[in-house]
Amino acid sequence: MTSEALLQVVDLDVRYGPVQAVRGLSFELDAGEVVGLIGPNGAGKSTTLLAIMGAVPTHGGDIRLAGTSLVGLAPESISRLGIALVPEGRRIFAEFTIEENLRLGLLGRRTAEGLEDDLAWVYSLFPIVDEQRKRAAGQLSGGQQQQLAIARALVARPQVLLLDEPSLGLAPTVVDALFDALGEIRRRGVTILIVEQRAQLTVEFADRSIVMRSGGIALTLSGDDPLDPAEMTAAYFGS
Amino acid sequence: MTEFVQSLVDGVALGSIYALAALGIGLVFGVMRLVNFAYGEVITAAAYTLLLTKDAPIGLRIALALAVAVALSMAMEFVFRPLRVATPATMLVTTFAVSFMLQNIAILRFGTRGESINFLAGLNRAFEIGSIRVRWITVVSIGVGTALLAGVGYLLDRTDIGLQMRAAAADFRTARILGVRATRVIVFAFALSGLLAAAIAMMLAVQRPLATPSFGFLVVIPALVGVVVGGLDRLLPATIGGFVVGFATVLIGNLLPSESRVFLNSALFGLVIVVLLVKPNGLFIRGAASVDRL
Repeated sequence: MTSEALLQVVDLDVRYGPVQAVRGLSFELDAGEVVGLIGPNGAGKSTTLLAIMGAVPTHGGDIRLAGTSLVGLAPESISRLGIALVPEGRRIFAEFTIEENLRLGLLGRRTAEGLEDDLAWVYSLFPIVDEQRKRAAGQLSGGQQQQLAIARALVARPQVLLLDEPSLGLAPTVVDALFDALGEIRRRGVTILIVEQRAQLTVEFADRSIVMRSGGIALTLSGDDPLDPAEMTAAYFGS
Repeated sequence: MTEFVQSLVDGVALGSIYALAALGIGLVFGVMRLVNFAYGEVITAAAYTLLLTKDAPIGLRIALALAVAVALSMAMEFVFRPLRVATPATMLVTTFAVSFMLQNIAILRFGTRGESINFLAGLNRAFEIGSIRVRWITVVSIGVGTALLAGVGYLLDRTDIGLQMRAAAADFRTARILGVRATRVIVFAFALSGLLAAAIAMMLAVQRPLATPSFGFLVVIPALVGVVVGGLDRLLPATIGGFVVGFATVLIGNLLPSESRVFLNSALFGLVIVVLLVKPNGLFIRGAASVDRL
């Protein structure tokens, strides 16, 4: 438990009624690090992100951002402390304009300082968001909606960006473009925790990847490790 | 013909008032998924405030009625606060309880017979356009109703708090994740609906000058019918629904021979049943959107 870790998850428990979704989960992210969270459906990946964000209650353990505990804080407070979530299924406001979606993202900003720079950067990353400001967000294609969802999170200038299945439902070429953009975001120094179904792509992209199963860690992989199919299968399905 | 035009004008006036009530209910429903049956008692409280300040200058009476309605509405928000995570049924029963409690407090304090409010009674005078008699309160109701609807529309469409309210109504969890402060938008919605309640009370007090414990309840029930007919989960259809019910009430009332007026509510509710059978999602909602029903 080094003190310099930016985000620490310590012995986390999350239950939905009688169902234990996350049990005794511990991991940490250093500043600027990219960590992947992979594993089968129902392993507790999305729940972990929601718990960090304060959107589901925790039942044990601790979550700390730069040493400060986030447990018990409301999502709107956590977003202001510097964590932004791109939720599963994008969750853009389809009937609002693109600009209105971005304005909502600005609520999480702690300071107006550097806003122009951040917007210019987000616009260069996702030009569609700048070019079609007055268009209803629901009219965008799936890939474009994902871009908007990420742009909406980035304008808050988060220290930690949580991504929940960003590639879900996107065509392969669109997924490639998405990961190129994520590479740009990483180069800007944003710390990233990404939940993905596409295990191979994630392991290659991330500095480290954690394979979750049944609410806990089954395996940790570094990006340099060659992916051992047998080891992965064991981690996914239990040996 | 003259009679028909006359009822059109009166219908628009009552429709404006019911539209405001529907909007007041819809604003709170949007951010909290709560149908506040006690909304009528906020209107009643504003009416009693007008009654109790009978001898005060008109400006002060208006200001106090607004203040009391907004304060009571915000107090209700505080009472309902622990219910945000409760089931819709629990919320509904609680608002019933608050409604009946406040009505009974009014009965204990003021009795059931009603007392004359005497508020801007001069607005009941009429002027004539051709053979149609238009009372000034009709003009005022339409004017105030239109102005308030436009004002709330502007607020929702063009301001930051309005954007946050719309976001909270569309997807509360995502809105909070982005930083929308849940308590702030909910308190704001209750305050705004309290303001509308005071406006409703004032316009009604001119025409129905008796303050009774059921003063507001009798407005909220048909307005709620309108909200359900229009479509509960969208503000504009809900508001139009409120208008339509007010408008239809006057029209049907004038069509029915005077000895059959007692059947007015039956006729109205009969129409509602037909509407809900044909368009269960509401009259003005296109497609088969899923709706959180009562």
